[in-house]
Amino acid sequence: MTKDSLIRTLRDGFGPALTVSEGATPKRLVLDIDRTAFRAAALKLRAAGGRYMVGVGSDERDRRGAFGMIHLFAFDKDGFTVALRTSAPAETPEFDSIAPEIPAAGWTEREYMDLLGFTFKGNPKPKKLILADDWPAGIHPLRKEVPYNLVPPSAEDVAYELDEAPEGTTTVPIGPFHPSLHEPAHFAVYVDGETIKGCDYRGFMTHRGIEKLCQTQVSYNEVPFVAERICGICGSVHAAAYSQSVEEAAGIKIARRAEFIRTIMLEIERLHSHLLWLGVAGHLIGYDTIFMQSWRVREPIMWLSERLTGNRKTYGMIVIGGVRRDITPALREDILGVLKKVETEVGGLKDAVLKDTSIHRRTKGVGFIPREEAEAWSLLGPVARGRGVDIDVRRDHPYAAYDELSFDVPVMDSGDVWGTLVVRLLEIFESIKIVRQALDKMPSDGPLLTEVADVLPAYRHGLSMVEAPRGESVHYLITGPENRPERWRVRAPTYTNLQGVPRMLLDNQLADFPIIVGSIDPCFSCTDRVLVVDGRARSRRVFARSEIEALGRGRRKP
Amino acid sequence: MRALTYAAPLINALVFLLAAPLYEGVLRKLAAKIQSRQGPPLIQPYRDLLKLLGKQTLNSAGSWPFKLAPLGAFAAALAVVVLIPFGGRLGVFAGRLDVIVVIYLLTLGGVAVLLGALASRNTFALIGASREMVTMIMVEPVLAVTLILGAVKLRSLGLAAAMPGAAGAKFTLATGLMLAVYLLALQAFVARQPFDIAEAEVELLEGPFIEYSGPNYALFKYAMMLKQMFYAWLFVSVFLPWIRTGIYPADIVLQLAAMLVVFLLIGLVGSTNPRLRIDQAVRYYAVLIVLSLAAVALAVKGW
Amino acid sequence: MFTRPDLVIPVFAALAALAAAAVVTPLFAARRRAAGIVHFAFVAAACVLLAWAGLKAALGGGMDEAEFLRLGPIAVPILIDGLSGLFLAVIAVLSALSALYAIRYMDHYPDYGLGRFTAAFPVFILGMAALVTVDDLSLGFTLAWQLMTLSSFVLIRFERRKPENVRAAAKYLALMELAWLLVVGGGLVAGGSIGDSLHTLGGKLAGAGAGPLFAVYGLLLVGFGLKAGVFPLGQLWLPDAHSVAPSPVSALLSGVMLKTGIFGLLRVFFFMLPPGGNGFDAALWGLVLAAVGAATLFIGTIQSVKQSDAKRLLAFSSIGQIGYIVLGMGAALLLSGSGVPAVRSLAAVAILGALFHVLNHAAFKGLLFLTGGSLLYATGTKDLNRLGGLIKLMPVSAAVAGVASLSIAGMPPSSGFASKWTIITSSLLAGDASVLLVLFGIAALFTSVVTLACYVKFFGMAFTASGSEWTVKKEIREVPVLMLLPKLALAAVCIVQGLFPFLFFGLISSALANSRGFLLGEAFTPGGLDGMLSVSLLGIRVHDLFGPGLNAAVAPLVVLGLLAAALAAAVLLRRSAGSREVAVPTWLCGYQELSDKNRYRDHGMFAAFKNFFRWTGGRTSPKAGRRQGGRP
Repeated sequence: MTKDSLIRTLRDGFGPALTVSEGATPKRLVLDIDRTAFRAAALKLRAAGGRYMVGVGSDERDRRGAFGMIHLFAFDKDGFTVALRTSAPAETPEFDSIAPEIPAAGWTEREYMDLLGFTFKGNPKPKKLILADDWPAGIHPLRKEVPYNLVPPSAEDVAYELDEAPEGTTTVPIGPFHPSLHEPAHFAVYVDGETIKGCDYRGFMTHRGIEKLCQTQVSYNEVPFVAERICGICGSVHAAAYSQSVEEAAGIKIARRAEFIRTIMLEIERLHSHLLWLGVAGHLIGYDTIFMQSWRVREPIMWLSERLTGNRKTYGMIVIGGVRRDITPALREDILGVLKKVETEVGGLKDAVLKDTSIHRRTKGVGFIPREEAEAWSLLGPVARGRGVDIDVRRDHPYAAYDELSFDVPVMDSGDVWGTLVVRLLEIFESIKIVRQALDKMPSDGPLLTEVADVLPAYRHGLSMVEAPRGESVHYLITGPENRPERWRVRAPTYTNLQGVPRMLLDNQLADFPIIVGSIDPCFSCTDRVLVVDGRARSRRVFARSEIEALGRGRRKP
Repeated sequence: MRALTYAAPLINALVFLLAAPLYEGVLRKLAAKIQSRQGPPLIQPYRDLLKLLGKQTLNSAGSWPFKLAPLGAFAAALAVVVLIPFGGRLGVFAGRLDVIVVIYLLTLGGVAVLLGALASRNTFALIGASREMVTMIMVEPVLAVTLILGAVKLRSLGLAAAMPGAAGAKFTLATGLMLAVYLLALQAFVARQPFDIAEAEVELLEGPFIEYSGPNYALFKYAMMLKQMFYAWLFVSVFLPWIRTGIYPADIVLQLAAMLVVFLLIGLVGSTNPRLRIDQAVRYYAVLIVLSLAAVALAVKGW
Repeated sequence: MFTRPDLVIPVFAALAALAAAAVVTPLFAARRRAAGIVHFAFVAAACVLLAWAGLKAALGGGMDEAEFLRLGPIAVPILIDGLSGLFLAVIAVLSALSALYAIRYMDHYPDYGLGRFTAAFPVFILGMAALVTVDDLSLGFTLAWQLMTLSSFVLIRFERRKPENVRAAAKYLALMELAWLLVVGGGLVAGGSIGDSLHTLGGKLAGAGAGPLFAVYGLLLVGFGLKAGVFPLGQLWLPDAHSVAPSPVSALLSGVMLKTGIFGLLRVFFFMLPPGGNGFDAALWGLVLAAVGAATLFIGTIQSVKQSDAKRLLAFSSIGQIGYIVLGMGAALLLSGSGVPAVRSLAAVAILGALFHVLNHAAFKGLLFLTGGSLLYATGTKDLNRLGGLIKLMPVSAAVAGVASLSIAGMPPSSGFASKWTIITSSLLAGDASVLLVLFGIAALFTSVVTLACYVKFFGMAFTASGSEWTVKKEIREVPVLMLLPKLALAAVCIVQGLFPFLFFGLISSALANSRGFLLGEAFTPGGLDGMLSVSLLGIRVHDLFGPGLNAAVAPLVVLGLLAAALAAAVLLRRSAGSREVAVPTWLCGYQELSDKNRYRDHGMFAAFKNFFRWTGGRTSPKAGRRQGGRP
């Protein structure tokens, strides 16, 4: 549905309860609606084909005596997004739940029950989501009166109660310390024999309140360095998504060359992420040779990253206004060389994987969801594309330099783990293609970093989506008066995909649990939004690669 | 010669106990090479065993079957290797025990693993035990047929029947079929990919052994290495009977060398396959069972 | 009147004592403990007599031919030969121990009076003893059969306020009466009349055509097969009846009553033959029996794995074990017709194995049912999904259950191993005498691993693992001494059977040698198996059958010694570095603790296997009352 016809339909339906305005760009439609019609409007948007992205709750009592709540929808075919906004009085932050019809909104609602003390009437599972098992009731950390570093005394009897197991099943407790999970989370898997009959998820075990931290302690320009540490893999994604959201909110236009460099960084990130995933997937089905070979192929990309950014990980490159380092002609040749090597090796890997019938046996038909349900759960990225949902932010809502680049979006309709596997493998080649094009089309000169005004206007909204390797990352930003975000909402793809996992597990075998969970390439740190500070690392010492290898293989201290 | 009859079982025990970790080391090294890794030194499994023997023994069960299980598993494996005509030499037990005893002793080792798993009370251990038992049931006929293939022709279940070459039997169609079936079942016998389903590290965290640590775990590991070596020997003995000179020490060395080849095969297959699911594996084993029965029928008919 | 009063008088005295018990004990029914003791006293006295007479007949020689108990014009042939003696001894041992067990066990049913129980129990034993003593298929058989059937019907129906018990008992009664009709019908078709001994009946079959012979043996096979519980007939009644009866009764039902069916089959196929075997196709009927046996052991055992009700599991497994016996008998019959003397010797080995398994199964299955009863007594449930962790609370019961489980699973060097080894060995050595027999032998090997799965599960889920700490509300204690004693006695029997099989080979050989008219009698004449079968403290060896050389050998004591030495090595290794033990909680990934919710339950065990063999059937619960009988 096009933007105009959508607006017409909604005006017809809601009349004066609805105010339509345009956001920062023509692609951002903003709808302010009365709280009583909030749910109805959301359902209408969904019915019109809107894909639920995430909700943004905010504490705005200090400036307007109310709580704000936004549901974000994307219309991927027509390339625009809708922010459906409403507010609730400070005393009664109550909203009608949309989760029964839009299951993907379940966690958003539960998140704000925890963090802001909202109530969502009719939420099918109004249980704790984010707060720790011993976090006392009544303290909602995102509320402004709660200090960022509050450590309340442990409370009793407020722990999360796992769902009741279906009749005749046994709970298999998986996690937080379990080899198929590379980060802490807990799955209570209900099995009958070895057939999975249900699953409850208790995650957010390492929630450290990055949003709260960045809303209270640091300034705009420092946030990217925190943002990229939300995730262990997609540093550039979060840095880019955050920077774009600020740029959109403040109306900053950055240099084209910087946009190309961002694009290159994002694709290099996708390359190493997909290869990492392929390895992990191999490991999860007990095929360690795939694991090791895939990571061996990946390694040169990490070294390349070190030459490009100064970090083995793709960190420290992207900031508000552009990028921090240039891609020199020498680096350009370097990149092309690495890509060539990687392309050849991944080619071999692809054949080995896609033609291996034993891999077919472990992936085909496993974790199957039909396309309609994949859409209902708003699945993202390769997880969605493996189930016939043709979405890709790079193509549907272009950012950085993607509008100038041509690439394919592989889609499989097998609806299972196999589909996601094929999609990811093919995307590796697309990424290589994109980087090569970007290096060709990149303006040969121009500033890397656009000067940004000292004071950004307050209370502007910015939305930015970036297609991370795992799917769409969403950053929503409301600028603040103190040179830092008033509200910064991060939603990584795992946050959405993970909600669909219990559905994917249903009626599969317990032995397929690792690969099904693994197939979404879960990033619990993205979901939890962790910040880990290593207080022990007092001294610095740079090790050469050979020294590190010697450390790993030998027994003597260097 | 008589002294040698008494010494043979001891020699078996010593050679197997000494060499089993080395073969394990070969497997690990080979896997590493296939995976472009440097891999641990060949003697790493010895170090692992020594290290485990010195570690704390964690006990989550507090009942005697939990403590008895590792002993039973090790003892059964050791008893099996003591009995076999390794190096073509029948030991003192040959006149008193036959291959049926060997089959049951192998099963006894499996029972010990299961007993320990159930006693440990751990959910993962029980799931692992369940899978282990299913695997045991389904590969048993293949093992049995391999051992008695010679027996139905020779009309003897004596241990000498496990060396058909020595007893003068020819390589027949039945032997050929069984050879193929044995190779297809080999990974299941030694619990390697694609049939390391009971331990399934990624989902079951080593299944039956999850609660075991220290010396108890060392015993289980050692027992598995012995068993692994037994299955390699069985292949060499039954299907490569011409590898023999008649000189006892030379035959020992030759068999050990041939077993190394079997281990390389195990390592190669193990590194190039993902783990199957138990339901898929059961269907696979069922086919092997049918083929084994066909091999027996052929053998009885003298083909 | 009788040539062997030394056998007949003790047996009749025992039967009289049992009849007296049935009359006297119910008078004490109001004082439960006293009733139990009086009951046991009578039964024990009778059983001593029966065992004495039985062993005497088996070891010292029995009656050579049937003699007649005459009551006016009616004559009932009585035959107490070696075979009868063997079965009498088994019946006696298990009956006495069950009665001892019942003294305290019946406390478990405070809501039911003991009158019926104490009246029916001795009659049941009487019926079984009589059945192996009479030697006809008409009057004597009818009398014994009906006494046995009606009394056991009353015993199965003991908890008569439970609809599923009433239903199970009714089904049992109907099918046993059908079996009676079939057997009597078989006798009539054979041309028998009242007073004909089996030997006479066999004589009447001389010259009969193939059709009538087929009808006679077919009817008798189905009739006695129903009783013995062979596939698919056993499945009709056995699991329901055995699992709902009070446990001492279940022990008798499984331990000895099924064996009366085996006894019948033995008498029919190895004794009641046309003179010289003319017209009787031993190879065919042997193959039929072996096939029935193989199917029975395979299907019964797999069905057993699927059960979560401890006593149902045991009941289905009884079917499986009967299968081994029938397979052994079939192998013996099949090979008996061979022209090769060595193969006929193999037939003798097979029948030895079958009868040894009769003895072993009586001991370990009796023990297992008493264990099942102990579970019920101590916890109030026999659902393996709810049991678990009893080893610390019931250590003695756990230990004897371990012995019984290892025995039935056939782990070396247990009793089940010795007898299964014999049966499997003789099948495999048949070689080209019968390809099918070889394949049956492999099926039996396969099935013994399934049996193992069954009892790993039974023992593991009841005594180790976990569950009862959450599901059983009452305080769990070890069962009283009076219940432990019979279990310990049976465990001792199991151990002796396992370690010293030569004793029992001797007993059975002697019993068969003392049975006139036995098809394989030639082999059991003195020296008949010399030079082919050696049994001694050092085990059993089959040798020089087809030319010089060993054919098969097993030596439980050697295995025991070998394992003990290996265990010692393991212990040394474990202690070598002085590792210290630390008690820790169960590791479940760090979020949940072990609880009733996340423990793995029995019904999940071997899921992949059970799914694969779903087609073998095997209901996991008895059909409840008539109301739920229909399918929705």
